[in-house]
Amino acid sequence: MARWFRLFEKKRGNRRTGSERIAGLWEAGFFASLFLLGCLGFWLVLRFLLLPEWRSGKDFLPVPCKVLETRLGTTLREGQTLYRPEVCIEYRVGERVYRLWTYDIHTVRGNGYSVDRRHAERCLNDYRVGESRTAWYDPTNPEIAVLERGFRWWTWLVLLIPFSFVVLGAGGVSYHVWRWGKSVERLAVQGKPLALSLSANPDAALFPFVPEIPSGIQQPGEHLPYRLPVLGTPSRALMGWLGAALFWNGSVLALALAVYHSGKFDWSFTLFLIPCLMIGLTLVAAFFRQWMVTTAIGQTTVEISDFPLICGQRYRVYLKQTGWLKMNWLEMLIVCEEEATFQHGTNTRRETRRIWQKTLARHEKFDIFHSVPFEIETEIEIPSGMMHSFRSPHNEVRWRLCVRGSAQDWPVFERIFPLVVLPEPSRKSDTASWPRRPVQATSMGGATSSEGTSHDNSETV
Amino acid sequence: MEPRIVIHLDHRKTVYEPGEILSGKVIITPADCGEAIKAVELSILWYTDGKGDQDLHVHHFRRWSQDGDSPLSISAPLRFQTILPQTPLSYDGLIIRIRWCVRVRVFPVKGREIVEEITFRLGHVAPARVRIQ
Repeated sequence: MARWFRLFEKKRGNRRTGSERIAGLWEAGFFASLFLLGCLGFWLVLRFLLLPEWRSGKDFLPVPCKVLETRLGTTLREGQTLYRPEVCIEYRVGERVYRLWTYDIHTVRGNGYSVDRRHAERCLNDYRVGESRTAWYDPTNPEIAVLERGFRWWTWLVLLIPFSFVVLGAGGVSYHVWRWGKSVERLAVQGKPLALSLSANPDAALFPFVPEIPSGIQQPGEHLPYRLPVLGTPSRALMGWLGAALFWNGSVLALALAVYHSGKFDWSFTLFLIPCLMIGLTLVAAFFRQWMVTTAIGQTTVEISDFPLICGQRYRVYLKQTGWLKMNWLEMLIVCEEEATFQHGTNTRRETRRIWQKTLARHEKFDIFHSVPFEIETEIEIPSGMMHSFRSPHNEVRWRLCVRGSAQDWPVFERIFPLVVLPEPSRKSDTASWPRRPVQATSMGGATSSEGTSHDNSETV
Repeated sequence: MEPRIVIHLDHRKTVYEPGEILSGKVIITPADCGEAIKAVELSILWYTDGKGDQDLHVHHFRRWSQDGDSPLSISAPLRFQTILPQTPLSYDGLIIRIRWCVRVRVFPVKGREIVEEITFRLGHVAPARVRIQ
């Protein structure tokens, strides 16, 4: 039997089985409730906190009074004793004499309590029984008088609570009113263009949604015109491990010292401390391992003859690997991957698929020395008809050069060099107008050295 | 009677080159239902389809309405024309697809909006197949 009212709706990203209109109404109603709640909070704070303080400071009139008695007022709220100063005064307005317990406007209104007993006692110490002081009374109701006027700082902080409700509610309602009755296409045109959130790409007008490697990190190469930046440099990983080790071990040490000084260092805390110390030692070990990997494996440099790349064209690629290693193997790949980001419940997930891969060079069983880096130059061709680089907020097609290697006594390492691939021009004459990164003059050089077997795409060693 | 939307692309093309002019017309029938229509929107857009959340970008947008800058008159076909961008090209990947289309929305004075779209390909990117060499 078909359900008249759908209790559950299937949700996958932006696609829903329910009515968007009804969902929008519910959301707008929710934000309107927040707004009304904020307005009510504003009114309550103004009416019961700020306005009385403001009136006592502005409208109340001075009158001489006599202090008859002082006491520490107490009350019990939620199991906690609260305190306030209370002073009994006598004053005359016209022909009538008034006597009341007061301090400030909150005391008169039945509030003014706080957990700070010492503060209340300090306030009372300012008043001596029998002395004459000045009080301020309400001209519209002389039975109300205070000894202290002015604003309490925390009443302004209280205003932030209803203010945040009003801002959230008003923002949400305005957003829904702005969206109401508009198609997704109209909203997309009136909203922020997606391209703006990707990069400040000078070629964006020509190639929208093609990501560009920021020009600041592009350097001219020594062997070929363009040196490619590496993603996630080893030094960053090194600093990451160092930061994590320092933070964790510092926190554990501070906690242990605090507990030791408080005299509560018992067996239960020792049991708690053991796994914390184990984690700390693991982080330190990970840092030293990363440090050894970074220093021993050395820098990987990749240079290319042109940038960005165009589908259907051939390019020269140069690889230099420094370090002091006995390599089992080293290979350079060009890969094209798709990456999709999607909401799964409240989680954001990513899925990556490699759709094309080609080994440009692979060398086995050779040594790399400090003074003689490993160098190869080879050729790549981006196949005609392949998809160009593409990036939108949730979907990406990316091209990369991957250098992977395995050395004796070291884990397999991989270094990624992002590429930008443009579509092939529809007319051959367009190729000349395709964008090129400006580059400085380069010098050719560098010795090549390798031993062992190799099988390259075209030319090596 | 509910209006019917027909989208015609000039030269009956289904594949366009980047930078090429895409033009066509929208015919809304019956022609005497103009007063029953509040507005008509035409978008030339691409959207992603596949595993990831949908991304959408409107390349060309036009709105005809009774009270807007572009007055609505459906007695004659509504013509449109735009220069297509260089990217992104239409693509059939393994988990990502990029589709281009001309989409028309008709907003009647009463009742739900009516949507009609016609897809076309931009460029000649081959469908993705896993290739490891």
